[in-house]
Amino acid sequence: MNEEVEVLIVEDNPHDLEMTLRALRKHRLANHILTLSDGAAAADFLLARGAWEGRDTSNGPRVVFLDLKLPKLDGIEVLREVKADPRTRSIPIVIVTSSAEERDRVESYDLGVNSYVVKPIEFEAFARTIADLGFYWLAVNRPPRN
Amino acid sequence: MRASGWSSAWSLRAKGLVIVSVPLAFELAFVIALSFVDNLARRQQAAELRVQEITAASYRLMSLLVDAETGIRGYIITEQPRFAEPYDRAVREVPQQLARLRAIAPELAREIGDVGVLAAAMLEYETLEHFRVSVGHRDEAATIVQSGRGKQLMDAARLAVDHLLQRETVLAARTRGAHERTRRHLRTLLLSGLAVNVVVAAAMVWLFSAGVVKRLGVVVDNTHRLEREEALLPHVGGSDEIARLDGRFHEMAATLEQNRKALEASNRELDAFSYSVSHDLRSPLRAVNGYARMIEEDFADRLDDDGRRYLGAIRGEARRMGQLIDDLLAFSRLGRNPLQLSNIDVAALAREVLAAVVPDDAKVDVHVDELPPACGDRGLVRQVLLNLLANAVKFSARSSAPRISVEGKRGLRENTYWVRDNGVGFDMRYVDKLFGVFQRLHGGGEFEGTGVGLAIVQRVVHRHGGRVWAESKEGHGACFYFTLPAPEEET
Repeated sequence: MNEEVEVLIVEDNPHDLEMTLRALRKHRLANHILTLSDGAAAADFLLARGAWEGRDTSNGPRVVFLDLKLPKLDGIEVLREVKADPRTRSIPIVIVTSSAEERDRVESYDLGVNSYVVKPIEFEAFARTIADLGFYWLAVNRPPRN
Repeated sequence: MRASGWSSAWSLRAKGLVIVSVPLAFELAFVIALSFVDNLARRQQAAELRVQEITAASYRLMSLLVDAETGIRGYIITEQPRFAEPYDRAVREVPQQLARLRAIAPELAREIGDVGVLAAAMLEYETLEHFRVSVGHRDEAATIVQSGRGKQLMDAARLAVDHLLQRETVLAARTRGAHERTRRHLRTLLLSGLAVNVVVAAAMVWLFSAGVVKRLGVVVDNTHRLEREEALLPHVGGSDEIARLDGRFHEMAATLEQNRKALEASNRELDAFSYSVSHDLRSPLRAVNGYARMIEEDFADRLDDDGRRYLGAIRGEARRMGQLIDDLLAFSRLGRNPLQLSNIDVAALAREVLAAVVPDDAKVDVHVDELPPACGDRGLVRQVLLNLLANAVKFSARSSAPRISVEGKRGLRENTYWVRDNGVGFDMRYVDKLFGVFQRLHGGGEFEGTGVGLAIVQRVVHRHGGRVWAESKEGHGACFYFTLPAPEEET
């Protein structure tokens, strides 16, 4: 439970999740991944509440891939809570969604999202985008601590 | 606007009635007053005439008596009957004059009676004298004359007549005074009536202004406000026709507002619908596509040609469905946004679109004619040209020498444009189906497409108030026509 999580993927569609994991695995980026299927669980994990009570928040994931349409708490709500808490504010959060709607993009950036990516319709483009994201956030980007 | 009493409660008909009848009533009152004045003048004239007549009759009476007295004296002296003629005349005429006086001035009956008694005494004296002379007692008669009896009677009669005239003068003065007072009263009445009339007229003008003109002004103002979508002024109040008109107008505006809100709500619903269509329909497609791809990659060694072909078909269809969703969303969005009209250089736009749709390696003979400008929504007109030219490229791709031309013709109010190609064309029997959504005249295996392109063309052209039609001969190319409004005359 206290094992280090490098990537948190919050995705309720098992097929999208499988394709995402496959794309990351193909590029050997799939170590230390935690997958959650609803927003409430994601918020609990990140803010060390509920089932994750007592988790060390200073050791957050290096990136969170967050869908917008999620059961219980939607992605915007999760984003709002995480970015409002000083302990978790610096965790990079990438919205990965099917929505290209302006209002979703504007709201996400207003809340301090680090990146906003629209899932491509084509599988190849989708796989390439996920791989690029994993590569960028895990290999190129430097986090504030560690 | 505050409703002030009758000015807003009375119907316009009642107001009109008041406005017309009040001055009329005043006019009527003036006419009656004037007839009084007229009547007064006539009565005054009559009173003056009466004085003259009474005076004349009295003098006539006196002179008859004096003449008779003088005549009798002459008769006494001369004994000649012709001297007695005035006496005969007096006997005849004095009663007539008395009757005339009584008729003219019945209220002076006592004075006239006095005159009559003395006149009768005078005549009686003269009759006796005449008798004495006629029977030969001339001396006796002369003695009586000398006694001064006749003079006595005459003086008394003269006094009575004077008295009568005096009384008449007094009466006439009294009448004149009464008339004068009445005249003054009438004049005061007329002048104050005039003043009241002026005040009433001013008040009516003010009330008409407050009760009709200003309130109508509010209604007119409200029509402008409705047009500019501003808040309406509050109700004008009252219960007359203007208040009803204003009330109905407010109701109407409220209904309009309700409809507008309902329309906005349904537009929002439609937005939410297309939002969920675009998201919820896409992700299963990605999965279909993705899993097919994953089979291709992970099970390549276990698949034969048919297996790979089937997977290819699955992926191709998934892709096509994605395109259908996109096209359908684009088509549904077309109807909603208001047109942003501007003048468009159609030729330049056509060249720009052609550059985008003609592949670099295609050997297409492209020709854009001189085209009249159009008035329209640039983005939408671009979509029309894009769809028509893309079709032209697509359906002429298999010709040995593909040729595409864009031409136009200036019209009175609208200009006509057409896109011609020498591609496969279509069967004119199915021309009616050409512009329907998802209608395709070629099999999917022959040419790619979703069948939405021409439906979009038609919708855009119709929204601009134009027409669209097509001509073709199978195997000999097609020509698509559309019209757009001509720009406003440049002056």
